[in-house]
Amino acid sequence: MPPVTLLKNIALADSDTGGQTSTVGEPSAAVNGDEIFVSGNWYATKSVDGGASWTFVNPYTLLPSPGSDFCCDQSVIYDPGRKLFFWLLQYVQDANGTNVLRVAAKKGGTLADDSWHWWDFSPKETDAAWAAEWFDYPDLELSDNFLYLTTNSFEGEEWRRSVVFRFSLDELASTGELSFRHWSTTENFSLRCVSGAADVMHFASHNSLSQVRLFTWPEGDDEPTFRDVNVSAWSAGTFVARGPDGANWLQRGDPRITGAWVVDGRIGLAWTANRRGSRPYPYVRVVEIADTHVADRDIWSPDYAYAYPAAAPNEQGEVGITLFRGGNAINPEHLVGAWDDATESWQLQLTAGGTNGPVDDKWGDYLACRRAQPDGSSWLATGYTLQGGGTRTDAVPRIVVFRR
Amino acid sequence: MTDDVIETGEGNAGEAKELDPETAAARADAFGRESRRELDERQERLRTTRRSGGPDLDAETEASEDEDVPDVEPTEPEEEPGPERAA
Repeated sequence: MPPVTLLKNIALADSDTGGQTSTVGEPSAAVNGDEIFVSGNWYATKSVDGGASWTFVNPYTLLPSPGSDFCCDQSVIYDPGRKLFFWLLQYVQDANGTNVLRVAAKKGGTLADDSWHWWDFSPKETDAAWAAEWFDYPDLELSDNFLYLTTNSFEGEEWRRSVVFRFSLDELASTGELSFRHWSTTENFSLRCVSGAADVMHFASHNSLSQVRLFTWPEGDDEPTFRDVNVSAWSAGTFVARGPDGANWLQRGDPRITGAWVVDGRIGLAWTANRRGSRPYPYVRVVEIADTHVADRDIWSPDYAYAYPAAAPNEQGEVGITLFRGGNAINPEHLVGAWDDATESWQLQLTAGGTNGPVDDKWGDYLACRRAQPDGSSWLATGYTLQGGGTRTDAVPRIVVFRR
Repeated sequence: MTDDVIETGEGNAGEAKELDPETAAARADAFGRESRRELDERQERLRTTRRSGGPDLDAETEASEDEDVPDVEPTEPEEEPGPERAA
């Protein structure tokens, strides 16, 4: 009996991605029945037949330029409430060192065509004092009535703040005037919103190597509040997990929170932590916070590293996860799985092995795990591996639908 | 906590811009893929270390075998790759 059942395990071909893959793959996915929209660092692709066939979507050219070229760091998500696909694109810095993030939207059921509505957001238009800054590492999440866009903001190479934008889904659906609220902090780097939020959004960031700051933003409130939660100590620093070909696929890894979810008020957070104590390789640190109780649900191995987790709850409140493993005797591989309450352990299933590590030691920076729609019992997850070589053209993105 | 640590505000992004289906189809047809050379150069320019900020987490890190870790058993996946399965 496998730990989870893979309903679909789809490898994308070069024709699906335009060959515009990177070893920093950053695959994201959104699903509405047979409509699946997938983005990577430098490509997008779509299927309207449940993944049987794919049509390449070029993020460099499909939408008009906002004044600078498309850069990277895409994310996509589907809101079943308003039946809307959302597509987030980051553009490169202009001569003034600033850039825009673009949020594009289209109705579910129309993925076959290439018509999108979009809104652009720049640091300067958000706050005049941010005019010299540029947005980086954006992400999308949903609650019942809002879309949330989190991003870091840099001035040159210096981090200045983390920002959360909140948009009304009704306004996005009407494609009319779009008002928004934004909230920012100069204390906490790289905020991560939870998946599975209803009428309260939660997001989190590290305060230290033993404390997280947990923010709570009810839909009816103008701004969030926060509390600090102590967690078991972990380590950061430079990650090393060399594979059989010597590639250190975790060289650019860092411990920012990449997976977050909420189930019945219990907040789950997951990130990549460095080797520590009896754990000889980087591993995935997982905590579940319920009021004052914090449970440790780490994913680790004495033989290789785990990294880059993303997770989401299904309709039953079960938590699905997607992540990589690799190092020592194993090239980077992709796995999915779910938390099993009965055994109090993660049940993981390998989806694909890899033949190589990245020749330039570059991997990441994130994966995506979504509750599948309309079947809310299963999950849609992204991953990738290298097949036949260690360069960007050898990256094979993967779309996996799975259930417990 | 000082006022400049946390800021709130609101804004307006105006009306959505729209790419109508005909224009979108024309653009999809008119433009080719990025050149392999350009993307190889972009891969080359990817930073080895990601940009970071916030609390200085690295400063506290010196791995030691004596350090405590949560009492959690190692995670052992199902080792057989899942079947390649499309629709």
